[in-house]
Amino acid sequence: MSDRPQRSTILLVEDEPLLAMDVERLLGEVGFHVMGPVTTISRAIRSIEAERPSLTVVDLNLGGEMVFPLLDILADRAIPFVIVTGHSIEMVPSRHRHRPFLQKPYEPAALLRFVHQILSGGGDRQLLQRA
Amino acid sequence: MTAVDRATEQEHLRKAEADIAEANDRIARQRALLAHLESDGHDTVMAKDLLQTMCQTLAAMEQHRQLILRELGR
Repeated sequence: MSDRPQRSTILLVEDEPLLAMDVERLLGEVGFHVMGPVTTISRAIRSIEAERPSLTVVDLNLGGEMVFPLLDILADRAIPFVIVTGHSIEMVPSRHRHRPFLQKPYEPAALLRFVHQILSGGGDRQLLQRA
Repeated sequence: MTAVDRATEQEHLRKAEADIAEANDRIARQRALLAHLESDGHDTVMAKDLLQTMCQTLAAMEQHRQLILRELGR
């Protein structure tokens, strides 16, 4: 049995291949286990059911489809998430506007800051600084 | 401003905001592409020029959005 601490698992929901690759590499480099990237809501749900992630990084718009139902599912299952999108915060349903939000293009350090804050028990409430 | 004018401006605002979101996505993609080109040792002059143009276009879109908001605020 390994005595290494278990790595946190992050589900990446992003349909832009280059951006997904960069985020996957970024999170991988700092030691996270990355699930995905997945590019549709249904695949994201299947991934969550197969393995509960510690956190999800989710693009708001997947090929023109807004991921609001996925946000509801994540919230229902108490899986924290970071929203990344080119849209402004006003596009996010009001029930999720308190969640960590990054408007593209964002700095990788801002994403890492959110991830570390959430996983260190900072929660996903407004104490997180918006980037 | 008449109700019809207001509805038209609100439609313009919706379109402007969608365009801005798409522009943000494109800039993010272009930045990622630029980083990959640089890491592979490719010439990035054209990619940087394009990124700059995209950023200027985005600034113009945001100014346009402000104009619409000003109209709606009258």
